[in-house]
Amino acid sequence: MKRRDIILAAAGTGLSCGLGTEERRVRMDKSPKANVAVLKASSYEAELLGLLEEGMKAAWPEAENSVRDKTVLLKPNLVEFDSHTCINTDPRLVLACRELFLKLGAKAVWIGEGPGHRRDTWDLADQAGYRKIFSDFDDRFVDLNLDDVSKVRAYDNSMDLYLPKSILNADLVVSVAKMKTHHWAAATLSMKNFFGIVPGSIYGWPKNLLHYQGIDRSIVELNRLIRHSFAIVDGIVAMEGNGPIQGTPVQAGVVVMGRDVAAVDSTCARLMKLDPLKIKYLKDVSMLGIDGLGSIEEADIEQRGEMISELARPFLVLDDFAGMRLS
Amino acid sequence: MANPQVRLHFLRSNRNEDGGWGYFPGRESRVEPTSYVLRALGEQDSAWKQGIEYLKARQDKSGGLTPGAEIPGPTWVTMLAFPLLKQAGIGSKQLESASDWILNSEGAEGGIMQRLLYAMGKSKVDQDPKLKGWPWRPANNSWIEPTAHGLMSLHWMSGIAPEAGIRYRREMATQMVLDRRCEDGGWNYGNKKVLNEVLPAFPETTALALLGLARSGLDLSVSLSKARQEYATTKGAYGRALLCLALRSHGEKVVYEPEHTDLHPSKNFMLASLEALAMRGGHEAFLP
Repeated sequence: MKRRDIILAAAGTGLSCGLGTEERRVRMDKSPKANVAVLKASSYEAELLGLLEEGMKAAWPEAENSVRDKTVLLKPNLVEFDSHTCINTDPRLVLACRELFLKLGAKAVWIGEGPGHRRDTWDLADQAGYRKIFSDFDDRFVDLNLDDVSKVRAYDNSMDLYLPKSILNADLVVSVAKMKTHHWAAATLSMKNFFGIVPGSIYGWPKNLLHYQGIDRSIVELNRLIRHSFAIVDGIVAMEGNGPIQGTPVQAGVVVMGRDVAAVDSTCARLMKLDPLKIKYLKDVSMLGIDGLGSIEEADIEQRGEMISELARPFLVLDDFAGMRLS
Repeated sequence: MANPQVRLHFLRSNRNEDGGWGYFPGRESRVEPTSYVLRALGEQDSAWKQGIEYLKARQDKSGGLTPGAEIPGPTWVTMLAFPLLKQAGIGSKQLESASDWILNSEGAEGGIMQRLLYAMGKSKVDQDPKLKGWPWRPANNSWIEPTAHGLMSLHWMSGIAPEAGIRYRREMATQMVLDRRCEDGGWNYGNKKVLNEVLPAFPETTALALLGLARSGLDLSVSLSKARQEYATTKGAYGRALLCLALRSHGEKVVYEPEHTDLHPSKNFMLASLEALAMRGGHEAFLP
């Protein structure tokens, strides 16, 4: 029996390994649909703050009450930099995200990232334009690779992880991800973006442990552990083809937001004309039946903002993932 | 040549009570930044002895060192700290167990399937799985940075470990590093090609690989040329300082002028240490 079969069987019987009491109780209830906002954004020169405010009203109407006086950490994608393509979350969108959460009353908004391939995080932030656009970057950035860590108990059949205290102590962690294809996992969106919170000082560069445990499994585990999360995906200029590093920029013109990171990612997949039900980590997390995490069926998502059908466009993918294309 | 005193003062005035240093001021001590700071301060410094005590206390029963007091399990930091422990002349039993740990630690690649796929040309990554260096953590693959420190640590093992064992690991790891070299002559973290796409080198890993290959007697002119080119163009302080030390370890005369006269804004102890080393010579802190 393969691991996936075990998860499927466990989910079916309500005995999914490692779920806490609360999760078990909640699974028996009928959860409301997950709100996901799809926003049209033609360029980074657009009025992004206003756009995000609209999106927040649609995706998380209670945000103001939930965020006021809280500490928020924005986690962009800064895995590497290459001036010829679009690996990173655009800093102009991250800046607008910071303004959004400050406007919602957040006590502090930090930016944190632990690049997966490079050790010189400050150089990377320089090259990607972050230090230029954030005048207080040096005082507001946490290198998650080198942060103090605390042990987090893993779910059964897995290993405990040491994660950055800045992530664990934040009241809200916002995955400000880039919409990209991925050569191992089909697509990297808000859930996969959490690989960057795993500290290199403990697990190395690259974060090989996550590959050893299985990429899909690690994506699911991290997102089960980091539940105080919100997702904003930068698809204004996205990446297709051989992502996440060597793909080609594509003008997708979209930003996607929501509290259920799996619902956000499955919506992104549909915008990329990929079938989210065929992306293994999305399928796996949906089977766990965790309240607030794992709505990937269209029927379980309250789609707000723009119609997917009007913004969707087929992303080029590697041959291995051709079977995932939506017709 | 720029004055390293600002950086050295920064290091001295931010030592933790346990004798070690974190990555940044006020953070928990770890073996990695402590090892860099001690190299920068040198054994004549008043902070040296307590720093060595901090490192000694991280050695567990296996002989390897753990990354920090609250983080169990020995890792690659054993290779980074070993030269300092040797230099400090700690007990021979502790040194022998550390060198045993290093000599017995190797990458987990090389399974039958991996070898078969590689032999058939169907491997997704272009890495010869027979060639093993050192992993970041036990039971993981070999990567460039831990392997570079593994190679450097071997230089400090004479008289502690059997020469045959040292020679075997040096030859194997040297081949592994050469196998992972990028087409541009430098190194990244350890993948030169994935899914037939050529990947570029990074400044910091190119420097570390060259430090690891110092005194190998190999013709590394292509890689040294790449390092010179990176040193002239890269703006990142971490990569520049390491490249300066690496080029010097291959006999090149390089002057290091930091971008910031004062401390780098990251206030990172490792970077301050590397810059202090680069300002005053410094590559001998890695090699005996």
